[in-house]
Amino acid sequence: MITVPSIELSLTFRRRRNLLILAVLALLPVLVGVSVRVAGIGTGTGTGMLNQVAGNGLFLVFASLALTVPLFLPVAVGAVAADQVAGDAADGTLRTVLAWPVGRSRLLAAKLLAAVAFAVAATFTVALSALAAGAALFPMRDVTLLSGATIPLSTAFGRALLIALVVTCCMAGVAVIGLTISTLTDSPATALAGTVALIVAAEIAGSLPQLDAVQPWLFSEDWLAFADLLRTPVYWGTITHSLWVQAGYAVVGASLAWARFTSRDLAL
Amino acid sequence: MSRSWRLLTPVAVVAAIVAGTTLVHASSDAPALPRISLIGLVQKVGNSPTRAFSGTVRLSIDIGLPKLPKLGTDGGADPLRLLSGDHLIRVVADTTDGEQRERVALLDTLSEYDIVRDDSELWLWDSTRQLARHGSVDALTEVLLAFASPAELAKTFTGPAAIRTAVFDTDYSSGQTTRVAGRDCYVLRVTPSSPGTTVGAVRVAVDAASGVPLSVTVYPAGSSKPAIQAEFEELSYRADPAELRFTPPPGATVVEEKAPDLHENPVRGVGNGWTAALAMGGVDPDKLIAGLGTEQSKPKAAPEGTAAVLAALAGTPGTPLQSYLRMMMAAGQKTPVGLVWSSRLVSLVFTPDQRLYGAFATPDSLVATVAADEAGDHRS
Repeated sequence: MITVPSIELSLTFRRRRNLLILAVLALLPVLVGVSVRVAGIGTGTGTGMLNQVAGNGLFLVFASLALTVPLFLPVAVGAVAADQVAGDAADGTLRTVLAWPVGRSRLLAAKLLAAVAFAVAATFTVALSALAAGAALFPMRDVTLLSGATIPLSTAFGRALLIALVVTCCMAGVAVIGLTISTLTDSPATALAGTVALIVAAEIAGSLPQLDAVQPWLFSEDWLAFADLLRTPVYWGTITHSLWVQAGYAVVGASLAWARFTSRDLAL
Repeated sequence: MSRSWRLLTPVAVVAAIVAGTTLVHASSDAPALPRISLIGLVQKVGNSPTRAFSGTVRLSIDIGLPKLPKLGTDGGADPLRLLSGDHLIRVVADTTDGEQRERVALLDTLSEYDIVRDDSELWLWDSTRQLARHGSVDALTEVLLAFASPAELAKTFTGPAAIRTAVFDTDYSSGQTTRVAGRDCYVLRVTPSSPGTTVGAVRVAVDAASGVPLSVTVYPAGSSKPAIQAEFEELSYRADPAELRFTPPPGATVVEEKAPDLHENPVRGVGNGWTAALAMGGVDPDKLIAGLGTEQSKPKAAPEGTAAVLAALAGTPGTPLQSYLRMMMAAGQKTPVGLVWSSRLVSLVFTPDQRLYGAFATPDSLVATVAADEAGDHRS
């Protein structure tokens, strides 16, 4: 049965540009893994997690996510989401789509679903590619947590899955923000630039000590909090806060997108 | 169909979220507790039966040092970053069997620094460098451990010794209540009245049930902006023994440290009351700063090519922290007793014979303390 969500999903995942983005994301952990294997990483350089990749392939998953979460992943997810509505509006398909016997709210929900599905796919592409590269290039063994305790490999796989899920939620938040911006303009370039600019602006605001009053409420502030899952005991405070913040942005963004998409005059 | 009302939906959603968040955050009101006398409250702190606890502490330090930007700090979690900024710390302590067991973990983004103490034995764990240092507890570590937990920090201001020395020039007041980490607390406000101290007021929240201080806020004289604030965010009166054990993980670098010579460089108290200073010998600020940020064992290779040019341009090579500390030293004031450095809460004197004095006192008051101490040395 062909439904609106399935059409939007297949449009998103069959677009050549989006598949290329996924391929690049899959390549990144492999590149990191190969360069660690070939060149070696001296202690004291790079992020702490990268130091441990050579000794334990599972750390390639954590290190790859830590490397891609600040920029590559959100930009990739935001770019695809920003194209959802503005792209259709620009190439004229939006008018055709709106002629379907489907309400605009349902259409927007389908587009939202597709954008979030891409966020899930992007995160798991990085994680699974890192897992495969890590297993192929390095030994897999028990994991030393940030706290210095060691947990067995099977438990560590569970933690890695949880980490991927937490990162997915953060990236789904970016997807909603991108889609919201996408409904505000008819130009995909403007939507893309707006989304990327918002991500970069949030991260710059997050790095300035003078702005510490607003920092807890930035959507990008606790993207790296997933590492709290690698402590004993697991510290949930920041992760929970981060997920609430993402939910807040998502609700506001989705309501703005809905208000704009259902009320604006598209029948040009 | 009118569609403009839809544009009000996101506004309503934002308003609802702001209202909801404010309500949740405002719910920490003043609980009704049985009245307690001032003496009773001070005794409650002193006689607290609690021997074990664990929890997370939010620590904010603003003693006048610039805050370090999060970007550009390459070192990961490091106790020296406690000098300024906001930190999240996990504290576990257990003294039930008479031995002092403690774990203080600085939880930083993607990294962690743990101090694990088993009575006199000490492990320092640096997750970024995968480095475990093994040694014995020295005076400096004691001070560091004391700063991390409100319970310990509060003893500096309300403990039996502090009360004995400070009782004659201090106003205590209580009567307020508050909630910290979901527990009802009495508020104890300590206001020094002696001249020369930089401490304006100290606010301590004491758990009404256990007598453990759960929050300490130190205000510098004439300021309503705290210089030190340590508060439990979450707390339980249990300590997991597994958390208090440390074994170096496989693959980690283990460094055995020589026990510091405490007889040669003892830490001692000088003077009394609020302007009392801590004194330590054998402190060479230049060497200390140079020692920060560099690897423990191997010396760094000299920069070559572009890196050398950049290092020359930068003038002071090293981490941002090293640069800050060098600037701080350069801004010090030269006096007959030594180099004086002061901030809104702390004053330090580095004497020419490598002694360091520190106090919550004005520079003039600390210089007088140091001069009196040196005069005492000459007499004996």
